[in-house]
Amino acid sequence: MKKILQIFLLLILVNTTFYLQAQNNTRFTISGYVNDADNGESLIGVSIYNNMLKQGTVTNAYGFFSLTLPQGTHELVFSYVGYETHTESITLNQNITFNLNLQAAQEELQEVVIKANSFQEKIATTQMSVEQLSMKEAKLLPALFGEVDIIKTLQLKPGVTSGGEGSSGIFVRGGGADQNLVLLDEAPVYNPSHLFGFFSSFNSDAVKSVDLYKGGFPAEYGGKLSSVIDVKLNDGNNKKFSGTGGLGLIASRLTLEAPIVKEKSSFIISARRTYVDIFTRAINKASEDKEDYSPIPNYYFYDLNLKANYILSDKDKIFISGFLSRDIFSFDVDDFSIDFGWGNRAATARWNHIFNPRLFLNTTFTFSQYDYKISNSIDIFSFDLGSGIEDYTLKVDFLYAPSAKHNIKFGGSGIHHTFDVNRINTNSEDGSFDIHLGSTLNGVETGVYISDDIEISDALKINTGLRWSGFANDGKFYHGLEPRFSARYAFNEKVSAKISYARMFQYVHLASSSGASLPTDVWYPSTKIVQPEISDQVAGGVSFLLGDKFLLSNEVYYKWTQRQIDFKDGAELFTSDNLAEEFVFGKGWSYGNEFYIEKTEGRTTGWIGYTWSKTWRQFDAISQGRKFPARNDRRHDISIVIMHQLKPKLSISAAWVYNTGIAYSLPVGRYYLQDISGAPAQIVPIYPDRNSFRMPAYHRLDLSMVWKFTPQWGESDLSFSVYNAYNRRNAYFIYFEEKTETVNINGEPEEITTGFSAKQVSLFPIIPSITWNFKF
Amino acid sequence: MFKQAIFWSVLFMFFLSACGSLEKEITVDLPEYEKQYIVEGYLEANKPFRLLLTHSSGYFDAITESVIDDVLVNDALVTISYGETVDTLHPNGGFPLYIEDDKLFNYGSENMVPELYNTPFDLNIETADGKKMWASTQLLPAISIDSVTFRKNADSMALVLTYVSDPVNEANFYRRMAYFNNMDSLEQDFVTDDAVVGEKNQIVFGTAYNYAPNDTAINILYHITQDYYDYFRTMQSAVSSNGNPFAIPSSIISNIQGDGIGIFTSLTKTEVIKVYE
Repeated sequence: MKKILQIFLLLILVNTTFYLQAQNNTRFTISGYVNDADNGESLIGVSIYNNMLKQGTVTNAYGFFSLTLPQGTHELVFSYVGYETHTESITLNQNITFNLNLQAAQEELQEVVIKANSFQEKIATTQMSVEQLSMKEAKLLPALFGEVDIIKTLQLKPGVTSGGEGSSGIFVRGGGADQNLVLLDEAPVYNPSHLFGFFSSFNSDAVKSVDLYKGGFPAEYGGKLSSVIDVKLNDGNNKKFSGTGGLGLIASRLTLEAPIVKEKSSFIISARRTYVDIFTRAINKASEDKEDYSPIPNYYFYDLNLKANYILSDKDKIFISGFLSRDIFSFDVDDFSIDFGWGNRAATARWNHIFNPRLFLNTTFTFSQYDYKISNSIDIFSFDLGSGIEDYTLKVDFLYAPSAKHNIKFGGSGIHHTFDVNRINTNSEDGSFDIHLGSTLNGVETGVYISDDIEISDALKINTGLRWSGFANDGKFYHGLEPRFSARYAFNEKVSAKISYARMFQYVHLASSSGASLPTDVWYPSTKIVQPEISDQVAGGVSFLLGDKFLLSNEVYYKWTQRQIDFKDGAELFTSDNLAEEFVFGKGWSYGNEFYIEKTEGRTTGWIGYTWSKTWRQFDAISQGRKFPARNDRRHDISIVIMHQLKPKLSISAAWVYNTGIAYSLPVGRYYLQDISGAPAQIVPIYPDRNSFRMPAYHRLDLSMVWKFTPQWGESDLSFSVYNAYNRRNAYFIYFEEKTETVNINGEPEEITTGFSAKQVSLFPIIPSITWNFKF
Repeated sequence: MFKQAIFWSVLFMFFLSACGSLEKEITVDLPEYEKQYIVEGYLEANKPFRLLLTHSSGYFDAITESVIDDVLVNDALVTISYGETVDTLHPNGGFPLYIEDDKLFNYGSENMVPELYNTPFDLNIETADGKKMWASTQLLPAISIDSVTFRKNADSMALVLTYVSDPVNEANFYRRMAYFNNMDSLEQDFVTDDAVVGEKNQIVFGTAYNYAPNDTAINILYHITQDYYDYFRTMQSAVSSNGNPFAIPSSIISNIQGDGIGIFTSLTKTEVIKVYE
């Protein structure tokens, strides 16, 4: 580890030397923001390039750019796919501020121009293993029940797999569902899903962009092992009042945005709610007088996004945003009632400040909470069970761009975590009993980082970074260094090769009793017993630009993970005062090859992704210490996505996925348990090593058609979607069933066991849906 | 017109096929399974020694006679030692089996389990093919049920509350069984430790509002060993994992050492029967 650290310090020193040499020439800086001309939204990833000097930069996550060039006149090209390219002649005799409103391309064709970043930028950047989505992309694709879902769109990318049929949980390069750092406007979201994972909590109308980092993690990110999903919300239209919305099969949504002070301040509010419960309540009410009345349980979910911003001056901007998502399940009959609710709350206050044209500051304070609670009452007796996590985070990020060939980032963060673990309260109104179980734990997580992205030559560009993170809890302080490194070698403008290495620490763990991510899983801190999880990942890849329209890339990776967590056999999940005693610890490793070809321009766009991978786990206490495949180990994973603009107002798309079935456990033997007097005998299954079987291969075709039309006001479209178009019965789970037969024994009918058979259960057949979307 | 008819027919057939069942029987190729010996022995003070020795089967093995007759192992040497005594449990001539309460056993002794609460009972089994198994357990004192009460609602239906005082300063484990009116109607059956004890050091078991006037509540509480508690929970977990898409099946924690799995344990029973009046 010391050697690695020495190498990283050396690289940073080399970078600094380059920088000092660069200072010998007279240079000035042009800096500013690039926004959408129609609604004032800041644009992320706009390329600003000087063709003569072959130097450039891109706008950061807040739409800010800073480019330092030699004194003189320069022609700068501002380009962003889906927008008109803008060329500006700039005379640099001093530092100048230049804000640009970029005009969206007018052609209908641009609706299928989906990428936020040009291929050239992908070839040029040192960042590898990143997937970027825009909402235009997600909205064109077929969706389950018509609900556009950005997480499910990410599942179509190589290296990313789902947790199962319909699930919005994601598993990145062999990582667990809890090893994804999900950020919504920089606030962590611990369970970004509704309905046990079938839908994500992010309303596509409110989301501006999504970046998924699978490896080569920038130094500013830390805290989770496998991925970073950085979701940015729209800022709100600061030019005019506008709205979007939609009516779908299961949910409706509405987004309103408007200036508060024109071109200075704006807000956006976005809400979504399901309405199945409205019908079930009506059915219940109509049936309640019937003799055999049995009410249908009540279920709905909703989410709400709020955001406002204010431009204080050319140098200062402030933003506040809030997010609320909730799932509610309830059942109430006679004296018995049960309520099960879970959801996230998050809030962000952010201040962007430009100290000088080369130094940008982002200061963020976030609050984030996830909890679930099951409440049950019978007459005077009540019972509730719940867990949760609550974070307060203060974070500062500096961007220092001393030259066109340098980008230095540094900053730090502190998070105060509070964990409510398995709070059980049960009591009676008459005081006959009163039981309280569970514990509250706290932890403080800190991190500081520095990274430097430098262009050493036209061909070679490197990014070196170092992060130090720590976690204090239970009288124990864990800390560690997380080196980050990536390099790009451009053979020419169309071909580049990249490598990266990243170490990540994870101090907060999800205690999950299932292979999937469920709302009842418990977040748990590192303690004296539970040490932080660590991952190391190396990756290498090449990118080719084929002609001007196709980008082909191939990446290989190898990832080691230490101190992975699982439950011991027979663990007490809900009545243990010290959950850590129920854990077992092991290691994991995964490796794979990801092939990806995409086309983002023209009437036909899309991509083909193929991943070959293996993911292993090994625990002393599981399967007698033998290695076993992780549940989401999938040898082959193919996604083919095609979008085609048939007519200016009519587009169609198709997505086909194929992957090796998940690894799972089936019993190989059985025994007869007679049990004690008064208890029925039963057949007990005997399981071999964990995950030693494979589900049948999974494949599915989804189709969609978006027809735009112009009503009397605004714009509208009808989205037709067909999920599982060829009605494949994909296995959701397999179970063994006892076959019985009724025979006559001594004149009495008696049921006897005659054998056993295997049954496969599927979840979704073909599901057509229609959604009406509007915009004004 | 003809084309339209074809179109709608195809569409109708397409959706008709979609309405098919989401569950179907499939063939699963299981690997060759090596059979294991299964031990089931429960000691209750003042009841005869009994033990069931069987073997496991491949999951899809054919059933030739019945689930139990196919798996009996009747040619083993089974002994239980306690203090200076070594008691040999014999097969009851193979058939008929020993019948104790409503259960069948293929090994038994004429002797009763003595009330030796501080003496270990050691089980040793040697099968005809030379496989050996052994285990040990101890008798536990009875835990009394403090009270059983009925609490009625506005419709005069009642739920049953069973109060048990948990001995302090020691870890205790219980199997709770509740029957509605007779022993054929098992209403509750689970194991618990004493983590759920309340401030009054009492454990309270409750039922639903199932009881009408003149119904009988049969409450049984077994004081059990931790071995049995671990075995029962992991066995139940294995059973319930079959058919649960979210479950990760665990291995069964058995206290049988050597070439088999199962349970050899003591049970101490307390029973209170009460009629709702």
